[in-house]
Amino acid sequence: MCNIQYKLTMLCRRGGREFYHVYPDKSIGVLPHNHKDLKVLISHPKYSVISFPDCNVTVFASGRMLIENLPEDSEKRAHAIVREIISVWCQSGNTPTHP
Amino acid sequence: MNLNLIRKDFPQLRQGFIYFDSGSTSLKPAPVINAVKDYYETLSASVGRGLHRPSNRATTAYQEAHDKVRSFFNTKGHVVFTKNCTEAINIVAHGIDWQAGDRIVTTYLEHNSNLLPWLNLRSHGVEVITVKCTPDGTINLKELSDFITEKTKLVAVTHASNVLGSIVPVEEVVDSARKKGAMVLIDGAQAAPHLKVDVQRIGCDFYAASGHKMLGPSGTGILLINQDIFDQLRPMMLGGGSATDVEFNKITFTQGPALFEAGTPNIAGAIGLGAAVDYLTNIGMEEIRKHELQLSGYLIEQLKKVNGITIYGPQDINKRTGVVSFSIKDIPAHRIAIILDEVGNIAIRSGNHCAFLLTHKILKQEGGTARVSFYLYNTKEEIDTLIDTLQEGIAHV
Repeated sequence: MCNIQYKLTMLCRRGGREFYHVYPDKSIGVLPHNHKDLKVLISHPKYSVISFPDCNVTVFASGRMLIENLPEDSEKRAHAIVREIISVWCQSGNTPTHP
Repeated sequence: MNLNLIRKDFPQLRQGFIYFDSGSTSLKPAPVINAVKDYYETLSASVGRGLHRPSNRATTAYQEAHDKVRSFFNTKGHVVFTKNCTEAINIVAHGIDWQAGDRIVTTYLEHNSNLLPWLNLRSHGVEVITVKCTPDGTINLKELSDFITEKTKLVAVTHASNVLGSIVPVEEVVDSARKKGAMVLIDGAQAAPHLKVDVQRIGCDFYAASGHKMLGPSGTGILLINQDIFDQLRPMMLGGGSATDVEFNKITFTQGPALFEAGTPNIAGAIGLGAAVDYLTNIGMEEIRKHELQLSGYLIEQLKKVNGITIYGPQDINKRTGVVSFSIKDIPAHRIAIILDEVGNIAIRSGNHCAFLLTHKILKQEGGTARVSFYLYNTKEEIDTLIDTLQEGIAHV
């Protein structure tokens, strides 16, 4: 089972929108492009852009993520999104590596 | 200008990373790094405080750094070392004897460092007029001039925009201010590293700059003060070095710029800044300007090939520094920056660049822009890599 810790920081807040930057302690590799629980908008060998109902998230092969345009005061929601992405990735049978 | 030799002077370039964020802070050449190292290894002592020889040598080196900066900017005024350009501007904001009803005229082009200190003075009854600019960064000088009245105590404008790269004709701003007796502060953070700045020719009262953006160490900044108005400025901070004699009822303050450098200063940084100024002078600011114009022109031409791109700033390349901001379709600027970092090992800046009025109200870019900012060590080949990464990594995905 995955045990990935991560650091989440708010990058900026403007116009009622928040951006979060996520650094996991391990690389999660490339996300599955056609996972049933994730809506992948953009698929590139080094990153994916995933659509959530309230934001987009760019997930890099290194594990680094950018959560874009969440409404104000969404830190809890940002954590939930990160955990969901990690969970999906782990359920796909992947094993994290140190970046 | 031998680019290969210059690049060898910058150790960080050996990591293979492309550094296009010199508008935030520049890389440091070996002579600057060595000057700082030498201070700690051979000169470590406080300045202006000890009778021992190490202190004497450190004091001499510290003073020489001031002299180098004075010569670099061709000023006959006072040179004050600060921790950055922001502190330099705040010294002026806190140092002028403001009265309710005084007016400050500034612009929408400004970085927060040359805006917030003035807006903050509104609580003292000071009126702040902010003159709009066009989306390409042009200030209507007639409009600016019209806002300068007899009540105007200060006109505070940037020499070059940190977002658009647009160069402000500061001599004309000074002319307008002089007609109404207003003082002028120029924020030179984005100009001093890239243009030949002649403070006597500009004729301003205050010129502020960032040492760390012009190859100097972090924690270095510059405030140049015209000697004619020097006595009108009160120090923001007092302490060691501020007074020559102290009694309970009488303080005799230090004369000269040391009055504005209270406490033990950033001696190593100052000496490093002196080395940076030597480095720039040896290469020649005209050569650096020529190189950056070539890079900016080339980048803009190449960027035009990227699908969905919007390029901000003056069309006339000669009205720009080496700063080029852009956006691609509706892709958030932060995403562009992180993709360039992760995919192409390219460092750029993204967001509002601490210039909210400009990005929100003038450019209408709530999410800010992506910004490339050059310096003397950048190459056309690096631009090619940037364009390839933008094309393959972002625009065509």
